[in-house]
Amino acid sequence: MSHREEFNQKLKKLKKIDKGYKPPAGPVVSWNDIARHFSSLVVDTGAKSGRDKEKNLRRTDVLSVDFSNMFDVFGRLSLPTKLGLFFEAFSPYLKNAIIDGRIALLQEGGSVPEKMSDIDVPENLRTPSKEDYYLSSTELKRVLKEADIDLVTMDSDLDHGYLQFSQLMDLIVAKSTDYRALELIPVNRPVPQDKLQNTPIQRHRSTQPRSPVV
Amino acid sequence: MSHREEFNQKLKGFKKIDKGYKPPAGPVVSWNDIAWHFKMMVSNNDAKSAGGKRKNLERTDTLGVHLASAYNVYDTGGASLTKLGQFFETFSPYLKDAILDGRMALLQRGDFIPEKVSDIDLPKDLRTSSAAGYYLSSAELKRVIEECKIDGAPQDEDFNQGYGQFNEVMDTVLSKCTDYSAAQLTPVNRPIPQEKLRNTPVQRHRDATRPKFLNGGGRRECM
Repeated sequence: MSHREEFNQKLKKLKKIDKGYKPPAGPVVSWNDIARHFSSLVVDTGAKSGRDKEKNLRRTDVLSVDFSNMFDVFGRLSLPTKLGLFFEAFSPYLKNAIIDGRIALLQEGGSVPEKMSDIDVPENLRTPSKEDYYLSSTELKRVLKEADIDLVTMDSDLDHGYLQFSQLMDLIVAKSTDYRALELIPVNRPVPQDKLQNTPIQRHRSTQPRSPVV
Repeated sequence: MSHREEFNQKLKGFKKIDKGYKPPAGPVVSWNDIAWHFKMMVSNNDAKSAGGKRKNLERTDTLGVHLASAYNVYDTGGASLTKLGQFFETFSPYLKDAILDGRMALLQRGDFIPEKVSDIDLPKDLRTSSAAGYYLSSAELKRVIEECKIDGAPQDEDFNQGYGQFNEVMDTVLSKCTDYSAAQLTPVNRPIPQEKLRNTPVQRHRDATRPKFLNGGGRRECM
């Protein structure tokens, strides 16, 4: 290791590490585990199966369906499935939630990037993480619910996609190794939930009709 | 550069953080939340909908409308800005200046502050996500919108209408954003306290619209 590398590494250790964070109850899973299971369960683009267009767009084994032969003999027509539609919308939403600290991004090592923009957040949950990141499955499910509230309203296709994606995530988490007992530290300085107000879930709760007082 | 010089330079990055700043009352919202809800509510460009040109340019669901086919069959490119879009175009660089000049705070989690203000990675506008995870005080944002209206073209009816629309869109967007005011946030851009500023657009506007007798100009002195 050169002097410069050694110096930079020592400097990194000067950064404050948030030892106060504790993930909520439930498995802590690795980003790479999610990505691997996701990629094996759901492919990016698949050819149409059967004849029914609507049935094809409800498939949960593919993010988009290639309809080339059926609708356009001269070209290819690829349409996102409902699952694919929700996934496309959810991926930047999750990224924002990580950058804004609404969900913890965990890692095993001791150094934390000084700037949020230095964190190498993978593009989506199907892309492996070079940095070996981990997520609390409970927090991930909460952010999914938040996306449902912020995104899905009024759009039945997205709503359908949300339910499919939610079930898929349950399956993936069930297949993933639980790293909860490991000493993991948050990379992105997460904000404790009790310090947040007007969150999508709180807003949603306040719009629900109250049960009559007996 | 020697190791010592390099070390000292990097150490400068760990500037003293202004712990004295307290955002004014009201929610503190994330830039990404604003950008997200703004994009959900208002598209960048859209095809014309029914109604005349004027009606299309008064829409609040898009920043620009493609009017080409309806008004000029030869012109297929470009979109006309709606009134909302016009105000947004004026406001985006204005907001950037307000942040760089410290008239409003740009907040973040964590302690690192860039040595130079120009090192701050400011998103292009309020529809562009921030990779750095920035936050704004909604009260300060509303003040800067008001300042932009005063500094802009207050006699221009279109501009005023765009301001009114943008203000309403922002109210809706802000009401949908998570409030981070209880989180530990630090200013990145060394904001200047409002009471240390003179002749701000709001002050100038207040003075200009104040009844004369309050300035002492309309009163006769008692003998």
